[in-house]
Amino acid sequence: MSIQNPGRRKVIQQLSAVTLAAGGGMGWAGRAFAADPVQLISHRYPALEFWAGKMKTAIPGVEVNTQLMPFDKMGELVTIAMSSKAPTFDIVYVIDSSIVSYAKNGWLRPLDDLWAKYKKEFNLDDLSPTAMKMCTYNGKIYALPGTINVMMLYYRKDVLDGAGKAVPKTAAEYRALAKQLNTPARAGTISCLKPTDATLNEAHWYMNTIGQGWFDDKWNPIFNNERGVRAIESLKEVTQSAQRGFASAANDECTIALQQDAAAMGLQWATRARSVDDPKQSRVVGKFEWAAMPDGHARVLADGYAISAFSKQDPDLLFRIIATATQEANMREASGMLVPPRRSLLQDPDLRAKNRFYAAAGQAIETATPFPPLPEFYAVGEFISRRILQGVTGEMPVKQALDTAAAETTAYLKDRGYYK
Amino acid sequence: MQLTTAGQDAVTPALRKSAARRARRAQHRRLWPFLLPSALVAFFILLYPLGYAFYLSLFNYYLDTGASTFVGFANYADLFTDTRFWAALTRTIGIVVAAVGLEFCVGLTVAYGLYRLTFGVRALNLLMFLPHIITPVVAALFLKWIFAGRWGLLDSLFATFGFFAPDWLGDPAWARVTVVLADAWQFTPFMILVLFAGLNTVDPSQIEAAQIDGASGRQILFRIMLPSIAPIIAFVLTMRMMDAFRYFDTIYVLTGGGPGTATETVTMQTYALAFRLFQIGKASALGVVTLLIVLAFASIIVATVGRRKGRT
Amino acid sequence: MAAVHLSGINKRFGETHVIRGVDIDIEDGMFCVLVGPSGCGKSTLLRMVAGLEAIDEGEISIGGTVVNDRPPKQRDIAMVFQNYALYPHMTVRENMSFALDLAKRPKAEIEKQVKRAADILGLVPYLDRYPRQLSGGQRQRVAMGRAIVRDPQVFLFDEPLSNLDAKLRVQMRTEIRELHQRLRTTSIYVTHDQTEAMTMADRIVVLKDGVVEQSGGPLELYSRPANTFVAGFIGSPSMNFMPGIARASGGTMQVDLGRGASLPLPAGSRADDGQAVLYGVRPEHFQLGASGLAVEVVVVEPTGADTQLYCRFDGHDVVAAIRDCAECRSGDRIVLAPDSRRAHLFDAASGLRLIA
Repeated sequence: MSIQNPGRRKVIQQLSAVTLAAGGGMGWAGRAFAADPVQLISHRYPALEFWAGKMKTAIPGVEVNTQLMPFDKMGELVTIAMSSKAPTFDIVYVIDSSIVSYAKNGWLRPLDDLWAKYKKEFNLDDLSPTAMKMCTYNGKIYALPGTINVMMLYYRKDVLDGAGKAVPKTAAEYRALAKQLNTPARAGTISCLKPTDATLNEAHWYMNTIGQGWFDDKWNPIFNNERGVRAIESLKEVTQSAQRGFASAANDECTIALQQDAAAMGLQWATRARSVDDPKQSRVVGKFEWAAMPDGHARVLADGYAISAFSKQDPDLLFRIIATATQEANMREASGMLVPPRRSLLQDPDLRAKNRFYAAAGQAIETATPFPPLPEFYAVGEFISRRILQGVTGEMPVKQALDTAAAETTAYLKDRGYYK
Repeated sequence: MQLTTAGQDAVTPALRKSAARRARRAQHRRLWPFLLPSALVAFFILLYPLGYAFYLSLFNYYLDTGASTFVGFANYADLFTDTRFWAALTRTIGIVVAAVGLEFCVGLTVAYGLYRLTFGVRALNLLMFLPHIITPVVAALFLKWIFAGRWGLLDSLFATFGFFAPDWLGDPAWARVTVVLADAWQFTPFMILVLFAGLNTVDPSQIEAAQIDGASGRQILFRIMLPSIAPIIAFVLTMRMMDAFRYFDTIYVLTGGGPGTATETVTMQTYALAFRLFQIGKASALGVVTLLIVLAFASIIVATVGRRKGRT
Repeated sequence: MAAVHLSGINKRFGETHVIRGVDIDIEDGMFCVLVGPSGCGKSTLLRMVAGLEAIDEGEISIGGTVVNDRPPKQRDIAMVFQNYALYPHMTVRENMSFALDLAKRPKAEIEKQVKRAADILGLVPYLDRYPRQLSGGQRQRVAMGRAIVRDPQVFLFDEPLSNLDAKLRVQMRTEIRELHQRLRTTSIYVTHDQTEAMTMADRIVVLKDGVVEQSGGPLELYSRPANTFVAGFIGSPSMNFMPGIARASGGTMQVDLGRGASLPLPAGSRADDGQAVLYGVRPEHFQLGASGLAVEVVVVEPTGADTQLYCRFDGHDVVAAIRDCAECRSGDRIVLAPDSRRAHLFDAASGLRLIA
């Protein structure tokens, strides 16, 4: 038996309207008129605020309402609205994992036609192939990237030099170095294992260098195979040299540990690189250097903007808003806040001089690995990361933890129609 | 000599009582219509969603795709066989009991102290209420910097005395202690305020009578004051218990349920089910189960603490 | 049982000096009533005896022991409060046995004491009820029962009847009095009601502004008030005070009240020639006569036993209570003759009684 109960849909639609009105303070009645403002929903951080501002002025005469909120909250609202096919939002902020899941659900409009139409005007071929790979699902483009972000190796040049050590080239070297550099006052490395997303990000590198990745090509879990277990055992070993409180540390806490001279190196997002050079926040200005993670395969992420499949607005207009807002000139202007997903900008000598980490970031992007393009990865990541943490903190043997996660993952994916 | 009771008691009480009851019933009938609007509101915002949640809990329903299948009580069966649920439940109950217990004990101690104190109470009161008027998430962020490793307030404090503090948020056992402390930091003021107000409602001459009867300060508190504010105590314990069961924001910010699953509560699991796994049916089932557990706890509190002696 | 002595007691609340050098001696077994208008310090004094209020200066002893620094529970006293102060969450039995229970007396003894008190007060059928299930009078009895059970050296009563209606008040008055006669426990009773004081006390202490105005037996205070305050406070309706000048005429002293009215000095009093005085007569000590005060009747109030006449004399109100005066009408002019053996003379300036 299946529910095709119109009542339920209505309830959810109303619910999303109510939460929106409460959150954004604006209604959306009378959507049929073209003069209605364009609705943008987005996560909030400085670069995204910048893009949102640019969208408001992108096309003269077109009003853009922007609603910026925490990522989780945004996810809830988008899910509620889109699952009920409500035309609540026109432009939606997306990241690689949401692109695949939203696209799979049919919530996003494919952009290939518009891409072709505006390729020249906005020099879209300059966009990084890695970024574009993440904006694509089943061969179709679904989003225009606004930023690219990659995890890379942060290391204290002075500390390494003092210890007579070279920058690690392999995962094994990294592990050994973490142990060697570890002192009571300064941890060998940072580790960011707050549930849930931070854990997945960090484990991703171990799983793709020591392990063989998360899934095989049939979406069967392979993270619990022998090498996968070794990967998480390595992660567990590295946490022995990690900063205090790593188990509840996310990016903010890890960045502070780096800034406060509490760790000698570690895996962290490129967007945080500027803050370790900021004298207002950092005690170690100028002492950090960057490199691509040893053996590559660090997580890379693109975010950007997609067009809702349920929007009543003209897609051409929406595409032009996004493309105008994220055009090259604006990206250059915003380069202090983000890593631009355009090759020309990453190689621009002027920008490279201003941003010491651009060279390393460019390299890291080349060798990085995105999350598996499994629309349900965000979902199954919940129990995978929980189980990894139970393994790392010793609540459960690593092998048992990963086997449990694999069983849970298989059961969930099976319920969602995989393996048939 | 035998002193007899006054003549006024001689009017047959049974007769008087039944007349009074009739009058009261008539009055209630007249007042009923006034309750109707709020009853309707209560129905639509409380009972309807509740019924709807129960209805949803009978389906295997994915929020993102909208795919749904009727599965009867399978979601409940799944939950009850899920070790993570039982772990989260016992953990939640542990956290609730520890947090509310701590808040009550500290709250009572401070409220009693304030009650005995006659000077500067007002300013002190306001000061202590401060953590409670901060938005939970902001309070949690504030707490985060208190408990954070190395550069955190507590750690720095310990460090000045020359020893290393425990890993407040990183060690599973300490993380549980920390979330309990965090909840207590936020909600003890509420406890203090209510209990302080309660203690002040106790008739001072009852306390003087007890003093003369030979009761010590402790005996007065436990045998006179607390029993006479039992309904207030039951109220505040029930409120806090229900609230603590939904304890989410602070844990979410502090530990995200970790390390591992050390601080994952039932609410966090519900959240994960609904907005991470999109399993609305299962999330609803968990919500219904949580509600029943909270109801059970509330009735226990009301039955044991709130039972008002001497009321017919 | 014990005697209670208060000597040189002083008490200040901030700037307010509420008790000013009070000395009171209460003999063993006596029923002493502290009476005075509200704010006179009588309750404060009682609470100091109980130990609920600290003593700034002076000494209080109970049964020969100075108790200044002893907490209430070590003073062996029991107190009945104006609002009864029953413990609402305890039954009558629990209320009454609470003190003994705290003192860890044997169960059997507690049972016996509660039974005895309940018998005395007629509370046996109510022992398992809660205070809120009782009437005002019953609650009052429980409060007394709680005191009796303790078998203390001293009973303290703080306006215990003021929450009761008039009829019940009169009844409880008698009951308390009977109880005292039966138990003979030293009692201190605070009230603002002079009738209560007169009917119940072995000894009355009249207080005003923290000072003892006079203390003595009820009849002593009634017939020989030390000053105009006591004279006016004790007795109902109040004593009439008529200003006048003492004048010597023909070897005897007269009080010239103006308007040609002149009265002989009351028995046992004296005054100097030309002294400004107040001539005090209680309403019940007037008679209709030929010589005395010529007054105009304003209001006539028959009470049955007598008739109260509200009259005007030289701009003053004069109240007289006359038996057999059915024929008086308002507007009548009559002559009131004070009984000079029972009249009083006070110094107009100091208010003190003028004694020969």
